[in-house]
Formats: sequence, structure tokens, C-alpha cells
Amino acid sequence: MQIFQEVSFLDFISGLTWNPLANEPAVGILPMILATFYVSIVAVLISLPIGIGCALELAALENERLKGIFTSILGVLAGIPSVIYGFIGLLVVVKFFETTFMFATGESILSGGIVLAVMVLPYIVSSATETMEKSYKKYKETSQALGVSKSYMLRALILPNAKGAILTSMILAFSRAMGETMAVMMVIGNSPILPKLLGKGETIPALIALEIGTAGLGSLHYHGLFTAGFVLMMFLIFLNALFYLIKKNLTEHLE
Amino acid sequence: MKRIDFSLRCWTVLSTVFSIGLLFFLLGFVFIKAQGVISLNFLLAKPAGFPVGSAGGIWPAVIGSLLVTLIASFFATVLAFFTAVYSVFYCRHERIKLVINLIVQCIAGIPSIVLGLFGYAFLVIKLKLGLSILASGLTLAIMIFPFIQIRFQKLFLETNKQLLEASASLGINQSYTIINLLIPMYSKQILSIITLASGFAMGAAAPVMLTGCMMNAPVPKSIASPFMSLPYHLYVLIGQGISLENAYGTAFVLMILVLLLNLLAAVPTLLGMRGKR
Repeated sequence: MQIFQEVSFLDFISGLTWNPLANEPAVGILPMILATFYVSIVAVLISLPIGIGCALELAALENERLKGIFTSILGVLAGIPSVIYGFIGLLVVVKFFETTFMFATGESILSGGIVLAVMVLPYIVSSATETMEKSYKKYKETSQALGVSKSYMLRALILPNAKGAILTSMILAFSRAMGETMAVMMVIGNSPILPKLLGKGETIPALIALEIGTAGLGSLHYHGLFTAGFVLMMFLIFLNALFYLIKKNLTEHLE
Repeated sequence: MKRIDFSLRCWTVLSTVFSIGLLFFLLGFVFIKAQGVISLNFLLAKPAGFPVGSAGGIWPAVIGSLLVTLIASFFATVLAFFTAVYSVFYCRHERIKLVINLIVQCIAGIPSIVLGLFGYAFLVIKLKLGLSILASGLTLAIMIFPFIQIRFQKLFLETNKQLLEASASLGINQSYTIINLLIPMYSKQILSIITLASGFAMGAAAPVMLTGCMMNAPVPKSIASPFMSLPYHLYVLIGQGISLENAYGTAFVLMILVLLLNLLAAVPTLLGMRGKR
């Protein structure tokens, strides 16, 4: 926190240049903050439709054994280390952009978003399924007695009822995506400029991971990185508290 | 009407197939590419060549990863167990419980890289642990602590209330009940939770790379020496373009270890299911 003796807080989060080692050091992390949000939003937008569809199917699945198998597969998907996602992202997604569309470099916000989308998918599914299953059980007998088809029930009852579940799973996925370091760092290009969808960017976790090793103890650079971490942590703690409170309300509402 | 229903079904089924297919794609991709590299020699040799890692094996990384995971899950389990027991059985005030839950939730939300920063500044520099297995293990322990605590708490909350009341009415004190009744009853679930959490710890690269991980280190002699870990090794191999083949090999070994842990975690539940039938 000692950094604020030299730079004001507003300058720190709204500055456009990150160059703590220059003669006139500049420590603005706005590009990184924006990139972090940008990548996470792209990731959530990609994975949300798939995740919700999958959750609907799982919630309505009658076959218990099949459901168990699917759930454990998603668990394994969540357990795969992020480095491996980054590794495969680098070799598949980035290469795909480079060879198919002839980009000069495939490392972009979009590829970061795609890799992250795959990573947060299991979280969205498991979080949404939990609530949807409850409402499915609640309405199952009534709608069966009324002779309503399963897909009509899913569309007219479960989906509108699951708005809260979708919201919480979005928040959860968003906070996961923001805090993710390795996978993003490997595919996003890492240059501290304002992010564009097909251009390079650098997220806060990547910034910290890449530069902490070279920052001198107690220097402006070192404090700058810690403060960047602090900013990120504040965002995430806020998101998590939000998630916890909404979820608590939601489960009480359902029971 | 029919059409909407049909497209809805299509959407749900397709997205399920996509999610399930992803896992097989990931596994297949790494396994097929890694075929040529994996050998006993690759597993058991030290990294060699110039730059380091372009030849040789990954033995120190395997051992380092396993050791650091062991330390992390030990500390995290002890801490999580007592927190869960306190908040479920001993804590009388609703408000304290809420605060505990909120704090655990917040710890779960701290990104791993910030935990790495904390470990570096506090454990490595302030407490003078140095870049070591112990520092990394403790950092990872903080990371997986909420994961374990939340699951323990859920487990204890679902305990049959009658059981607890019966033992209380027999005049048995609560700690005796917990040690002699709950722990044996839940030993399988507890083990499986710990195993899952250690799989999680093993794959984490970000906290470890700030607190004690090296590109090239011998098999660690004590818990105060720096070490190699598989995720970081993989990151360096691919990030600096040292050797693609060895990166595939490392990814393969890491994935196998994590999958093994996941399977191990599933074993007690599977056995339990069979016993019930």
C-alpha cells in the first residue's frame, strides 16, 4: 500500500501506461483491469448457453446412473489443472486462429475467452443444475398430472423459474474467470495495452505472475504489483459475497 | 409450439453432448500426442540438455508435486476439520456461524495468484522460510482449505440428528461423540474429500511458482529446499518453447496423476453404493 505515497489511487486504477521501471515510472493498471473484465465477459457469454442447456438436460434426466456418470465427468473436467487447459488452448485454439484466418498471432482476448469458457463450463453446469433439480422435483408431479410434455415443462416452468440460478452461476463463473492465471496467461499474449477482441491483452493475474520475479523487494514496481493484486481481490471478494447472499436467499425461497 | 419444443430439446441435448465430449477431446488429444514420449526413462530421469528440459525426464518434478500436495492437504485438512466441527457442533451463535461461512467463502474467492503473492511476501520473506516446499505447501493449504471446509460442513450438517441426540442423552460428552462416532462413520467420505482437494492442489501452478518452484532442482532433500513441480515445468516447457514433446509428456503425467486422484476419491462412494444394494 506504500505506493499511494507516490501515486494517487485514481491515477493507479485509471492510468493507461504500465512502465514502473522507466525514469519517470508510470503505474496505471486500467488496461489490465479492462482486459480482465473483457476476457471474463467473453468467457461467460460463450459458456452460458451451453452450460444452461446442459444443466436443463441434467436436471430433467430420469436415469440416475447416467446422471451420476455425467456429473462425475463434469467433476473431472473441473479438476483438470489450468495449465493443461492453457497448454491445449495454445496448441489448438491459438493455432486454429493462426492457420485458418491467417492472423499474425492467434494470441488474443478471444482465444483467452474461449479457453476460459471451457474452464468455467463445469462450474456453471453444477451450480445451475443444483437449483433446477429442486424446482424440477417440485413441479414434476403436478405437470405430469396435467399431461404436459417434458420439454414444455422445461421451457415454461423450469427455465423462467431458474433466473436466479442462472444469475448465481454467472457470477460464480465470472469470479472464477477473473482469478484464473495460468491458462489465460498462456494464450492471451501479455502486452499491457488496451484490449481489443482480436488483439493482445494482459490480465491482472498474468501481470503479477510474470513480473513479481523481477521486481525488487520494496520498490515501486513491487508495491504496484501487490496493489494490483489487492484491486483484483477486492473485486472477487465482492463478487463472492454477492454470490453467497443471492444463493442463500434463493435456497430459502425454494424450500 | 412443437417446433419450439423440438429446438429446446436439440439445444439441451447438444450442449450436454458438447460438455461431455470436451473431456474426451482433452484426454484424447494429450494421450495420443504423448504416446511417443512416455517411457520409464522419461519418468525416472532428471531433466537434462540445453536449455534444461529439452532432454531427460521429469522425476524430480513428480516427487516435488507429490510432496507439496501431501503437505498442503495435511495442513488444510487439520484446519478445515476443526473449523467445520466448531461451526457445526460447538458454535451457539447464529451470527458467528454466518461470519465464519462468509469468511470461508471469501477465502475461496481469493485468486490463486494473490495467494501466491501473500505466500511470497509473508511466508517466504517475513517468516524467512525461503523458497521451499514448506512455503509452497502452506500457500496451497490456504487455497484448498475452503474447498475442504465447505464439504466437511455439509457432511456434518447432514448427520442424523437422532444419532446426536441419543448419544447426548446417554450423557456422553460431545468431543467423545465426534471422535468415536462421527469420524469412523464418515471416514470414507472424509478421505474422498481430501483426495479430491489434493488433486486440486497438485494442478495449481500460480501459487507454487511464486513460493518455491524452480525450473531445475534435484529431488528435494528436506522440506526447506526448493523443488520442481509438474504444472510449472509444463508451463516453462511450452511457454519458452523448449520442447514440445516433453511438454506433451509432462501434461500426460500430470493429467494421469490428477485423474488417478479423482478416481481414488470416487472409490469409497462406489464401494458404499455396492454395499447398500
